[in-house]
Amino acid sequence: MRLNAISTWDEFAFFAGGHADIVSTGDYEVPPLMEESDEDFVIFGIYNLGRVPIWVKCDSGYETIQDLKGKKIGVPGPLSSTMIWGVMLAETEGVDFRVGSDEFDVIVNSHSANGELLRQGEIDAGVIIPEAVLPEITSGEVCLLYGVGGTWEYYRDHFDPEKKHKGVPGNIFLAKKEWFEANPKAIDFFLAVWEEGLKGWKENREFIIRSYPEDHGLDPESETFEADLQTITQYLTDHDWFVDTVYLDEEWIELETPVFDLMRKTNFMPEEQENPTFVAVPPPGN
Amino acid sequence: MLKSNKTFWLCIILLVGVSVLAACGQAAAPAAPAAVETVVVEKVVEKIVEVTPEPPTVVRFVFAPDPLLRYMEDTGIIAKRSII
Repeated sequence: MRLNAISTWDEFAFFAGGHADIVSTGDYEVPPLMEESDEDFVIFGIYNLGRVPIWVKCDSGYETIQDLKGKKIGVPGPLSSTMIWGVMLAETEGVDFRVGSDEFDVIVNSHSANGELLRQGEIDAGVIIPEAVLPEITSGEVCLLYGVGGTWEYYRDHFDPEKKHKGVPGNIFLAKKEWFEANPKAIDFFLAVWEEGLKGWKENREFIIRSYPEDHGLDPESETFEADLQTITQYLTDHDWFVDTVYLDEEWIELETPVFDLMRKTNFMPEEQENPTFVAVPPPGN
Repeated sequence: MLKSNKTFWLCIILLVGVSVLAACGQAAAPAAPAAVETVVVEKVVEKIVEVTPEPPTVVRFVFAPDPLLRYMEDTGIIAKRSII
């Protein structure tokens, strides 16, 4: 058995076009996919959690989304982290945070472009990956709105009564139901490969960050490389968005399912639409 | 003499008539059914068949660029990765 891994920023279209068997995306992004497709899908594994925070300048005085009403906010697109922030903030703050909202001036750019715009003061806040604002994190110029390092921490703190659930994953593993049911050995193989990768991350985090600096917003030629390396390593330790295992279990699925009720309640998902299907594939030996 | 001649010709006519009747009788007799013999020829042909191994199942996975993918490739966890 062989894994052909394809890297692209347009992974959804690639998968939808039938060019891949498995795609990784947020579980909250599956309902829009279901809405646009006649296919049935299965979520059968998990990789990492919603990790994109809302950054503001530390000296701006912005502490909540209410402070940003009417302000310019950069986002990476209408779906992804923008959407799950919109879902949660609609419930907790009663705001309409989405592309096209009348309450905010929401503009769409790449993460790196939004990082630059925040740096230059062209936007007041941004839903931006930390790698894109690394120098400003090191210097203490940018701060996390609500002090959370990503959507998963906000969900944990505001929607799980026990404040423990590691949810709203930014990357689950998704396959078409027909392919999933026809290829149980491939599914076992795929999950075993990623479990190994996850184990490698846990054991060699700093080595991996140092080995792939550009992927972590680091410039190896920069005079501040070592300081920036320490910053991102610390950030990844404080806000670790990787899960402990790629294997789902029934307890996790039960705790995650209310996300879709929340999406319906906040009009991010049609009332009549069914929840995505989760399948807890057991790890080897179970 | 005349009587002898008459007898002679009568005998000749009789013989000819018997011969004709005998010939006609043979022609009128039903033909014997033809025997059809089917011969099955078995031919043994040697054919060389190449036994190819079952092709490995390829799992196609598409993902946004991720450092862990690169790590998995460099450490051999993943054999090869394509970038589009």
